[in-house]
Amino acid sequence: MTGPFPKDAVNRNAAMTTRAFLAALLAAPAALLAQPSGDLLVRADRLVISPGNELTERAAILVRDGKVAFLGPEIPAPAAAAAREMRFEGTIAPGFVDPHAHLGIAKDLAEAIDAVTPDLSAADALDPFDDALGRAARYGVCTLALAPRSANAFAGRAAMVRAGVTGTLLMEDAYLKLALVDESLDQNRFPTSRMGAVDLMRLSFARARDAANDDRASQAIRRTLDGGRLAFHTRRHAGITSALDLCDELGVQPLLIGADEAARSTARLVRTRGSVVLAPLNLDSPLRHLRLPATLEAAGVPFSFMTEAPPRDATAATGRAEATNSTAHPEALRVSAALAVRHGASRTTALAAITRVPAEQCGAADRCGSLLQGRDASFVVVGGDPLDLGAPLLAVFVAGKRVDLEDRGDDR
Amino acid sequence: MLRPFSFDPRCALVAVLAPVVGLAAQEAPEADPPAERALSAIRVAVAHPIAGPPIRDAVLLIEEGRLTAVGPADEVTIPADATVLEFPDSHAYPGLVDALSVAFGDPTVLNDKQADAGTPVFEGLDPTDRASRALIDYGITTAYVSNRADSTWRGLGAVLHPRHDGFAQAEGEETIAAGVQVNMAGATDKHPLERDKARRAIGELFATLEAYRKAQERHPRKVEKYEAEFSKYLDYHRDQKSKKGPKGDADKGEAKTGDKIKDADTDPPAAKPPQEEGGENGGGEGNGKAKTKAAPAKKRQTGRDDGAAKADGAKKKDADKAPKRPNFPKPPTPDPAKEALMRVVDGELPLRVEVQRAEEIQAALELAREHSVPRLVLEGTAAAADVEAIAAAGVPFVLTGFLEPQQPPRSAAFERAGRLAGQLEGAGVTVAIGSGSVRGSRHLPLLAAYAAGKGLSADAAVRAITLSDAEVLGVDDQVGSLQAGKRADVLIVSGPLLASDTRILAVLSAGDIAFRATAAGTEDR
Repeated sequence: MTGPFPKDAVNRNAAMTTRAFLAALLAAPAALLAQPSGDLLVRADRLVISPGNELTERAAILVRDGKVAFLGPEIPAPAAAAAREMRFEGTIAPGFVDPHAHLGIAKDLAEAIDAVTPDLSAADALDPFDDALGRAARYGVCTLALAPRSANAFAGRAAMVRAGVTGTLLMEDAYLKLALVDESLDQNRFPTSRMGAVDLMRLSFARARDAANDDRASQAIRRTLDGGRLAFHTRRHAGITSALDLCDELGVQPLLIGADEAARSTARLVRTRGSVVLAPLNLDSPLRHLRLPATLEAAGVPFSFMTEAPPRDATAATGRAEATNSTAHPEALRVSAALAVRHGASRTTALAAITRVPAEQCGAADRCGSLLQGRDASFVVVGGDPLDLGAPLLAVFVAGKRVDLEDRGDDR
Repeated sequence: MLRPFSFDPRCALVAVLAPVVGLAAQEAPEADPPAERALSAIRVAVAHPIAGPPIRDAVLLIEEGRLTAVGPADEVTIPADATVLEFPDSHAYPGLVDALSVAFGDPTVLNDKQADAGTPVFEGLDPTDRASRALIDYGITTAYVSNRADSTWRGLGAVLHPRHDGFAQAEGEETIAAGVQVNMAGATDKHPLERDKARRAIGELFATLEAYRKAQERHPRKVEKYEAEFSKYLDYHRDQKSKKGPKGDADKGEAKTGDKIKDADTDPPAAKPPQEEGGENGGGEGNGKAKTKAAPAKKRQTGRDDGAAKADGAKKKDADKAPKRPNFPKPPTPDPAKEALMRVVDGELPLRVEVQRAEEIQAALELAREHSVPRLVLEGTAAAADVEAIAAAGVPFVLTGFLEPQQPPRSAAFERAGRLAGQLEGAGVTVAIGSGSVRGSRHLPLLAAYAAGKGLSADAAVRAITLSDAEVLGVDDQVGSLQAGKRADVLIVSGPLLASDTRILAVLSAGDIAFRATAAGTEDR
């Protein structure tokens, strides 16, 4: 009734309690009187449970409490009968996942003065009513990793957020983001160069490994090294090499964000079981970027697409983080995947790049990115194959709730 | 005087250069292999003529760069001497037409803010641009290029056929200029009064066309009158000369006059020796003309100063009769901008107006109505449009920029713009798609697919990158569909054009194989 409220930014005051009480009062007799279970049964011609694993017969999904309860032939007949049913002519596919997004204004997520802020959490800056969350959902991006901007070396921890007119926090600590890009360097503080940044990172990791150091930064890094994920934002080959070196030293699985020049490091990425988050492809992308997904697929390196694009020009790249608001439209995920297919990637890999792989990269594979039992019932219904742009987006569900695809002017 | 042994550096240069030149001459044919101009046939699984329903197991016959037959294999017989190209399991489409491109455009030329309506963009194109040369590999066989400056007038756009070695211009010299570009969207961010001013200026230029045309039409009549007067003048003097008789002096004089005086039968600037004219015209008739012409002059003279004229005597009287040498009428100053707009008003060229807002569309439609522009074409990224009004005016729409790489500042407008294609189609408006950028041009099928995903029907989407574009550009008698008689521009792909995993197998431009995928299945670019 009232919907899942975001963890923070909502004042849990007395009025809220009263409303919840009233809702319960109204809902209780309704549930007793009417048979409908509150489940939702969505049928279509085809169901992609996860890329490469699909049903073409009895393609259906039973949603209960915002989660995937049953799939296809496993749906119990009584539950199906009791559920509210929707039927579409098209394909059900997992909702798209954006593994690296920035919302709001630069001041929300860019900590530029201190170079080492691994203890910061993007979740603290989540504005659940950000227009961009509503827009993301309208284009099938059901889950996104809200990441700190690349304003300093240890940027902070990303948080997984469910998109929608009202966003909700799915989980904290998706990954600890480190930045080795030009925007993370600042002339007014150390480090001012990439070598300085690498040195600072090495130093900070060494400090954190010493249990005697009990500052918040060291604690946060220690937590990450102890089963968490490290993500390096880097575009050029030199930065990629530095990131891979650091990961080798720490013994962690590399996750590279950006990495336009990853084609040169495929062998090393395969050896270390690393993966890559690619900048969105667009019509103006150079051929080497358009072909990178196919190259990575051929080498066996998992990759995903994000909405954050590199700054448009050189002046923006050298400027401060405020100047680099270059978030692409949420539709860029699907367009990127389609472009990857056009340039040699397989449909399965390209769909994985916007569903399963980004979920895995964020450590949220058990929550989103596929439609296995128990996952969030976040999915899209497309009138054809999701990777053909000619197939219209028919419906989007985020955690079992249907998204209004019409622009209501709420994102002005 | 010849010296027995001398060294001429020029000879040495020739001796050194000769083998180089010879080498170059030998290499030339190798670099440009003889095109497969002879009769050839292509067999594909499905041909999409666009002008008609798809044909299964189709054969395309090509001769001299043109399609001579398109039909099912059991109806079209392949001549025995034809080279047959088999593409099993493939689809053939007409070569793609980009209705709005900047291919081969030098950035400085395509941003010429000083352009007027008659500035030809064709003059400033750079045939060496590598990215543009590669467009043929993506099946773009025809592209319309125009100035994209942020000014109101953008000049004449050009239709080109991209090739690996530059571009060929569209058939017939007249089609090079394929439209006069007006930019109404450029004023979008300006103050309403400034917008209004810019629009009024457009209207005012159209309003001057009538006067310009009249001046143009009046001039030949003036020249006619001049010629008549001049022949009288000439005849009069010839007459005088024949009275004096052939003298050495007179001969000299005649030769002199002949140099100066122009033949009345030809255009004034082209001077002709007067001898033959003297033979033709010298006679009583010419004399009579001269007299009638002289009469009003005398009258005027006598009217003004009667007494003096009489007193002067016979000698003076003769001089009065002499007709004045007329001045050649000054031709009206040629104005390329107005010349171009006259071609627009005459329906020879379309007027292409870039619009962005509903209000601009309204203004463009009004402009066309008011100045009776027969062929208006709207282009641009419009978020909101009165589709009914566009349909009622029978105006086609070239959609562009609706799949921008980055999120534009007005996100909601961007989202609505995507749906415009379907709305226009629903209202019965011809929809064409233009890439608007060289790199974007490579993804023309993706743009069409995107429009299809937003509500354009799949058939209209394919048409929007082939035949509809050709119609909008006025070259639909040459390109845009697989029909006998048209240029043999053929795109052969592995599946339906709009599907993401469809690969380009071959591209034919005017019957020549411009691109062919390598055996590995990857495009060789």
